[in-house]
Amino acid sequence: MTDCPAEKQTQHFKGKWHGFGPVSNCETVIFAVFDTTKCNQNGSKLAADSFSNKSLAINTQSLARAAYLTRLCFDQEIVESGKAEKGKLVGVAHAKVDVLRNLRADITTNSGLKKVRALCVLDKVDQGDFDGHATAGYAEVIERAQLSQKSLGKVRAKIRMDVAEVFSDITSPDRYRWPSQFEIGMKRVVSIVQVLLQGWFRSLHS
Amino acid sequence: MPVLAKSSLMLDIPTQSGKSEQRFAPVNVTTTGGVLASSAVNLLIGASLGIGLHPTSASDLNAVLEYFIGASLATTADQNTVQLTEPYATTEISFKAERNIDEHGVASRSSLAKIIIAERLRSDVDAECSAIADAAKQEAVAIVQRWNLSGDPRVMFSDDGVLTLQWQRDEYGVALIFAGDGMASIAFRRPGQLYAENGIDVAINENIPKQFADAMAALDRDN
Repeated sequence: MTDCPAEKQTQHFKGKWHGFGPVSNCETVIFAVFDTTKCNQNGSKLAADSFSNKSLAINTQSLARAAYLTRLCFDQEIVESGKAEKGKLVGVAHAKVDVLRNLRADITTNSGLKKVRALCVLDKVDQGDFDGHATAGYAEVIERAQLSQKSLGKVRAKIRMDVAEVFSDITSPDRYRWPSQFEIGMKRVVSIVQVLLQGWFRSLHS
Repeated sequence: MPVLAKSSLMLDIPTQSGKSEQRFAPVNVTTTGGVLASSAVNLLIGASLGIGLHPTSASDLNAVLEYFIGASLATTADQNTVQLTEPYATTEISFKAERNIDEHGVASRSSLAKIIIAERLRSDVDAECSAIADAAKQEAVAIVQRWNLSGDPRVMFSDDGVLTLQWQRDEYGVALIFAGDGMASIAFRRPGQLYAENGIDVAINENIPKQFADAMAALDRDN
């Protein structure tokens, strides 16, 4: 069993014909920083407590897929909708998906010390989310390790520090090159073709 | 019962940014017998203690007073009232009392210990995990005082009550993680190595481990 089986198939609530498919390793994800987001001492970088332990535990820590989000969508779906709860936007930080997925954690089980995947990144889109939405969460293998609550809490605390480490400095969203609506449309076509091809290959093999 | 002082007790709380915040609110101080500097003083807590506390909660009140004067309190049957078995009286005198603590042999808190206690007051820990957070805080304060730790670490309580102290500069860092289980987890950050991929566990009553001392010294040296 892989550490993050849910990464292999789309988590879009409408199914495989919608959204952009599973998050690939070569993508970049964006974390929006608001007034109320906790950051490091000088406010230039994310800190462990920028991330919600509770959200990571149920794989709902929200991120945006940089390749599938227009600036307009970012402003409307993230900045405006987050304003009431989190205050005004301060900036954004980004991370490479393969780096996030390469994070490892040492856990001590009955069979000794094991190095396991720390974090999963999913294309989780629930009702009301935009299609370029992604989520991060602790890898299932950590949850399955049957650690005590306190040991699990310590492992999770270390992982959050590491997640903060791999995100970039906080910068203005104006410094990004956001894809155009046309590019996003083309990527939707590509994702539909990919689903068709996958179905075709599967039928060839069966 | 004569009211000896009725004022807004504004006190400085150190924060992680290095600045202090003026917080806290009305504390009415009265004596039980009208004798100042006697053995028993009741602190009647006013409408708001700020920082999201429930002012009538004895445990929160204990934490507030622990932070300021390092004394533990015996609560009375009336949860609004606590009995402080030290000769502290009016607002003015309570400040003096802070200075008097050393004379009375009560250990004064280091500034880092005060930050940890203040952060616990501010923290948003799940109710069912508050015992873990309180135990973690006690362990952290004990280690900080005994190992004589200082600096400007990031102090973080997570919703599950786990407390992390993180000292970091660029790609070098060291973290102490407490979960109230009698053990402190120490994790290191170096170029090419992240916190979750390494670490040692030490019992709270152990002496400072060499790896930790070396890592802290390296951070101090480079600052």
